[in-house]
Amino acid sequence: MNQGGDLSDPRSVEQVVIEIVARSLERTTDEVTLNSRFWGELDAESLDMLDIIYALERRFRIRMPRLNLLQRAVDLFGEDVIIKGGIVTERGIELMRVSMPEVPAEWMKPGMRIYDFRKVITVGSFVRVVERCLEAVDKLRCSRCGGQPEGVEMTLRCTGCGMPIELPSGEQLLVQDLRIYAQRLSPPLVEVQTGLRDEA
Amino acid sequence: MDRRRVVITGMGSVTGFGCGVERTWQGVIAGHSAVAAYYPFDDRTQPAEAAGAVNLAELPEETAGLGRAARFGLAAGREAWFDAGFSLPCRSPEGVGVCIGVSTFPVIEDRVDRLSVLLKDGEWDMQEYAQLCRERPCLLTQSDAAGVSSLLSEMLGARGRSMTVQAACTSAAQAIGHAFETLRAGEGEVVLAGGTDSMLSMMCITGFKLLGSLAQRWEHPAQASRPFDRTRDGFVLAEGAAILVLEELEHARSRGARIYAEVIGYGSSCDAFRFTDMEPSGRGPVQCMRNALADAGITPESVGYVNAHGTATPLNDRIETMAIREVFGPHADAGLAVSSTKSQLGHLLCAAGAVEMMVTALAVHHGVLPPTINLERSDPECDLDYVSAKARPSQVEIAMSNSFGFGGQNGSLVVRRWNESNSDSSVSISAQPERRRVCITAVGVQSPLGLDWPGHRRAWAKGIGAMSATGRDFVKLGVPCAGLIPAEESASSIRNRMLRKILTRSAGFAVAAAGEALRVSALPAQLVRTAELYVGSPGLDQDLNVFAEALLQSLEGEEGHATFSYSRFTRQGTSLIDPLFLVRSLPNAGLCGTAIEFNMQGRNLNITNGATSGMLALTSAAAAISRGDTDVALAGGYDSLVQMEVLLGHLGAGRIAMEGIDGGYLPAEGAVFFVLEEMEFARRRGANGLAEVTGWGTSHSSAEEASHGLERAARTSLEGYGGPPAMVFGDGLRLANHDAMEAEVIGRLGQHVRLNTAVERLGFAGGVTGLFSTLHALASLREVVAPVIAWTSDRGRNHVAVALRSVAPEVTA
Repeated sequence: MNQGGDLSDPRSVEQVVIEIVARSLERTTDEVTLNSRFWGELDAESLDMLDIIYALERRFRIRMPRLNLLQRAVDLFGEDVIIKGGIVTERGIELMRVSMPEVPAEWMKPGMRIYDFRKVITVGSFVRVVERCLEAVDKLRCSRCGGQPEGVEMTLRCTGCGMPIELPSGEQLLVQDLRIYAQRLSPPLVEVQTGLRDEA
Repeated sequence: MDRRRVVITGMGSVTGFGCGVERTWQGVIAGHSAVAAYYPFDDRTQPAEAAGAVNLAELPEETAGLGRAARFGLAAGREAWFDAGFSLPCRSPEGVGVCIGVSTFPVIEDRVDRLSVLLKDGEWDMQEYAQLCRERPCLLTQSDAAGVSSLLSEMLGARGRSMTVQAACTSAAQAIGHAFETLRAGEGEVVLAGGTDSMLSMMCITGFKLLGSLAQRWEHPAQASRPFDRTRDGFVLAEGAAILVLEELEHARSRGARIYAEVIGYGSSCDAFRFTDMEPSGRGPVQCMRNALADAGITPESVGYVNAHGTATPLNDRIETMAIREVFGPHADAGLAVSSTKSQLGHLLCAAGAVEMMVTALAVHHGVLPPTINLERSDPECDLDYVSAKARPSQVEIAMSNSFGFGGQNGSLVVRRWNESNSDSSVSISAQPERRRVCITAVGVQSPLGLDWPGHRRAWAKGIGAMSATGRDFVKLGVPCAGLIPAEESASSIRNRMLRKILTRSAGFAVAAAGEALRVSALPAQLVRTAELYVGSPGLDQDLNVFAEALLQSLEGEEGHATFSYSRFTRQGTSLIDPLFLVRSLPNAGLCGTAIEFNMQGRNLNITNGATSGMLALTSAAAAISRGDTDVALAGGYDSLVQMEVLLGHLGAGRIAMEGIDGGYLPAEGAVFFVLEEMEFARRRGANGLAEVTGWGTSHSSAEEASHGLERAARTSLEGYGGPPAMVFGDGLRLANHDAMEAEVIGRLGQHVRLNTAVERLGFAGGVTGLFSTLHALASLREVVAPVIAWTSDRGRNHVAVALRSVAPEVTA
């Protein structure tokens, strides 16, 4: 698998993510598992999350999403469908469960408050997102000549014609996936038009 | 205790609505938005953000050479001064002070006229821009943190204290609150107080964006700022200024001034939790509002309107709502109106507290409550009466304005509607309250000579040199040695993980020195929690190259790079810049770090006034204890000149001692903190008084010889003592003008007075130098009976002096 920044690194994405998380939070790698939750369990602050995302981006040469998945779901499928009165709906929970398979299903229950949602994010969630971004980078081809991209520091360039190639946006990837997962629910979730623009 | 009363007699403002208070007020009341798509620098095709930007063409031409914040501040200050019915220059300069909240982030884009090299065919050459940032980073720093307040003092010809404060988004509230307290306590008659700011620069926009603070959805810019709305997703940056004329009531009445409102209370607190996460229970904002109510001597039920901080970030609005419920109880649902002016103006950052205080005062003055616009989808967690959509006529008697800043500093101000009937209850006018005695009970030091006070003292006595070798970059500049502190060793005492991660070296010194002072004082945790905290900090304390390097790196992929797309940079560049760079550079990091490390939740003040910062923190703390606001305070300062950006500024000004140059000082760094206590309080708890702080004086030299200003500060500090001081510990910078000024004042103070200086051995450490002088003054007390003065002066403009005497034996017994 493409290891992004350092191709010779034999360690798995899992190992590297755990190391980066542990280093940032000043813990040993034994204390950090795929199931460790950032909030509460690992006692991370929001600045830690930014710090970790930044380190992952540089290490793997990817662009991580910085989105609130639940908020994006609201934008796509409508207010009352995903969240009602500040509480995540049953449909909302269903969607989050399929979107975040690494989070034990019992952590996400109907009746959850929107503000409690971030508390379920685990180290495994980061591994999944990193792998998703790496997969997209693997599939990238030059739009002009179809050549393979080659990475130099944080940028990509076509090995054929030398044209710069933009790194895929992690945010767009996750929104894309959210749409696919929504179709798999029964009945599928229907997209609505909101007045708010998706900046990504 | 009878106190003087303080009223607002003038206002001036510059916002996205335009120049002049009337335009801002009318825009706010009409429910309009000052937020529009913002096209910065290069990219005319795609807006970078939604922002509440000021139309620079409306500002007076003669200020065109200054930075934006200075231009806004001067325009607003001038309007306020004339609005109050004063003329220029001011008539009694010693009674007029200035206190302004302003950020010190540079908007390098402003300097386009001076840096015309950057413009090619009307477009920014970003390659040049980034190169320039890297090679001449001093261009990025406002080496003169006290710039705006000094300019205002000079505009007025004022000689009272001229001060700049920096508490992130609470800056202006602190400035107004502090000005109110000093006027009420009897210092001066008039203060020009408020805030001015602009962070509409590529660097700051990028910084906030990386932190995830900005509104993400702004297709319709006027609807981007949505405080308390369910879909709110961040704040909208804005720029501008508001400045108020605060005046002692009898002074205002004697000249028949029009009074907008009376300032009746100020509250301050610190979350002491985390840098950017709000404490989940909202205890900081709760304490802050309660302090303000207690200070005003009113019940929660008497407040009719709260102008909320209301940033439109998901967390702030929810926690502020919770805190208002906690403080106001059932009254929150029964007659208390709340609104956020940020819904219309956006977030003016360091100026926000001033423009919102102005709107709050006008609301009670005119009897109209401003609306919260864009609040269309209710959030079950935000369920107060937010005056949504339209202004509401309401004869509110008392109103509050809230500000809560990054780092956890909070400020609340309370105003009362003015009418002649409540003027009858005027308390003893111009009463000079009795001063309580103040002593220093502990000190903490991080210096090139030692990482604690005993170590520093020992090394000093042994005559050990404080200078050590600098790195290659400094040697290249001709600065082979400096007063350096082993930063890692210094920081090793810090327990908080996040502080170790984000504090700059000098902010780390602050936490270490504060820790020593608190440890030696043996104050119980409960007293530390409520003690007041005063810190003098450098205006800008970071490595701005982080930004320049990232910009350069992102340009490498560009073809031609004659122009550069801002939106492309923010889209692609997130992974290029350390997202914490803006947090690292916060000038209140030392104060907030100290508060977090030692759980200090009490009132606080962060001063960024150049070389006088540290001593102003000390004297402000002494004044607070003296007038009875608190029994205990921790006060000190930190600074480092051994940073490339800062050093280049001093080098450029020809102030650094170098081979072949006559005079000048060597750069140094450090931190000094003092625990101050009320004398009787210290005695009762058996604390050891190291020195009594018997007096202090501050002044500004406008239209006078600098030595007169310094002399005024020194003589004020000696008030109540007939004779000359035993000794003076001053700057001794080996700069001709500065030395001559000090020598003149020494000569006028008395024949046998001599000047001692710590700079000669320690080097010059900016805002801490005066505190090093104070330390050595303290150490010399054993030998003398008369008071010893420590003083410092910032370029002959701002002066501060403090007088110390040995503590009488009965106190130490």
